[in-house]
Amino acid sequence: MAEKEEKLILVIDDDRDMLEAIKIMLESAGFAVGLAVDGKQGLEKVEELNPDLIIVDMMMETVDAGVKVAEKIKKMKSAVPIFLLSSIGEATSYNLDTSAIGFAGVIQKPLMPSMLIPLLRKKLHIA
Amino acid sequence: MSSSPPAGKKAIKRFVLTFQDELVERIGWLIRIRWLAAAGVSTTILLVDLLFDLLLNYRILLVCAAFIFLYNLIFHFYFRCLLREEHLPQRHQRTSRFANIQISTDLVLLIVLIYFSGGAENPFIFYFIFHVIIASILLSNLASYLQASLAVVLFNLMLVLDYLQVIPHYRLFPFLNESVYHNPVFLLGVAGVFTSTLYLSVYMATSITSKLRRREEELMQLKDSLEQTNRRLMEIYEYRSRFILKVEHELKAPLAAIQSLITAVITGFPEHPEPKVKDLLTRAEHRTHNLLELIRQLLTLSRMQTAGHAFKLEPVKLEPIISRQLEILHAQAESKGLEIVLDLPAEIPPVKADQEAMHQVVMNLLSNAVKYTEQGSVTFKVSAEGNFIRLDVVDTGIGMSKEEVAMVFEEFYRTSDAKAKYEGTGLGLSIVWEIIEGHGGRIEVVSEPGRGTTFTVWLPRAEA
Repeated sequence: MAEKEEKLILVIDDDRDMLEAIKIMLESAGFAVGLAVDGKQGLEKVEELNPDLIIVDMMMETVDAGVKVAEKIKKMKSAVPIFLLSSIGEATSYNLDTSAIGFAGVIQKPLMPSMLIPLLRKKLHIA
Repeated sequence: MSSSPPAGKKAIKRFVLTFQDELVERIGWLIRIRWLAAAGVSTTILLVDLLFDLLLNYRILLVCAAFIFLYNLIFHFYFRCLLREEHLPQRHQRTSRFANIQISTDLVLLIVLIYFSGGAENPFIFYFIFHVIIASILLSNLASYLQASLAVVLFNLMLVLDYLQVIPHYRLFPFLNESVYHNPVFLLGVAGVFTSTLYLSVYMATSITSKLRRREEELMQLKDSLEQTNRRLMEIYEYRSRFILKVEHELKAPLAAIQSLITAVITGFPEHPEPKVKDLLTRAEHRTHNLLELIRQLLTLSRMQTAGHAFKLEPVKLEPIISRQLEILHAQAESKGLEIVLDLPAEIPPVKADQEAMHQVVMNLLSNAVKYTEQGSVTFKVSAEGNFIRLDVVDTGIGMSKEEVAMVFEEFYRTSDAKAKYEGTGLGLSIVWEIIEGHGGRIEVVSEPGRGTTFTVWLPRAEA
């Protein structure tokens, strides 16, 4: 599992089981993973870990809390790609034009490694 | 519990308001009518003077007509002042008093006109009926009877004074014998008929008016209670919508976590290649996925059924929705070797629709077409048709029989072929049907087993 250059992905989600599952999927694909269970911790981790890519759950505590956190991160680190995580068919994800507000895209739950990993690799320019 | 005052009280208050507003409107009408009446009186006097040989004193009558013009001018300006009065209770009080004064003035002037043009022999005495009816419409019952009494008193006073020769008699018809005005039987007859006619008129007019006012009051009460019920229903609806959203999230979050955890176990630990365990886990993951899909569709259907008129209708552009859904289906279509044909006009006029609902429609129709087609193509065609935008989704898939087509929008219904070979909930098309209905659109299906299916949807255009 030795990568030449291990990319660090920060995942922010208030569902700890989901965090654990994503962590396993990402680590087995060779990424380094940082976790945060809420927006506040997420912002701290962004500063501390300086991740290469960030995944934020859209639906934390309140409906748009995730999007707000993602927007804050965008202001802090505009170059880091941010993916929003949404439940499949979530109403809010339809009304969100991700590219217009500068996000890399929406990833739908449940997570399929076969889709997720290539998507992240492409974004991080890993062959 | 509701803390608002009972519906009845509020309704009556509003009824008084509308009644007063109506009074103001009718007073304006009365003033306009009076201009006509004054002009009519003047013209009649002049015409009678020209055409008939009567014993009239035209000059006095023309002075009376001029007097009508004069006092109507005063009423006109007073009315305009009254409209500027902002203090409502005071305005209402003044409006009622003003209406009474106007009608009394008219009665006095009519009696003067009649007196100078023959008194009891003048057929225009029936014009008093108009005044009494107008009073019954504008004023309270008591005021209407008082006005009628004023007319009766004035008229009978005129007869008595005339009879007693306290006032001189102005004759009208040269062919009538003058002794008739001194005949008590004739005068009593006229007085009796006049008095009874006026009181009967006022009785009939006020009873009709009161009935109408009561009806109006009842209607207002009804309207108020309907409004209140409507507000309550909207509250319940909003609560339900919020509740469904919450339920959706609460149900989906743990399932998504379960599925992701199972997936993590399957993909994350290649050093545990126990095939039986892997197989069981894959099946568990698969079932979880199906359950998640079922919950998603059930809740969407429930949301769409509750939505009814509450779809957030706005001009929606279909292009981004179509390209987004195609993006999602691209991999699946490619893996089956299906050709996806897009037949779109240069610019699709926006539809009047709910954004999320349109995603559902396009997603369900397209994903069905891709799912149930093993070879050939899926065509998505959009065209403008009158006030509607027409969408055609044509596939070369398994198709359905006539009987199956008839059932296809029913909840949980799946054709036997579909059930045998494909996963699904049987809710996707029910959702589409609910949405199209709620948007005032139409959906039709044409299908043949083994040849393919065409779904056609018409949605109202935004500008229409």
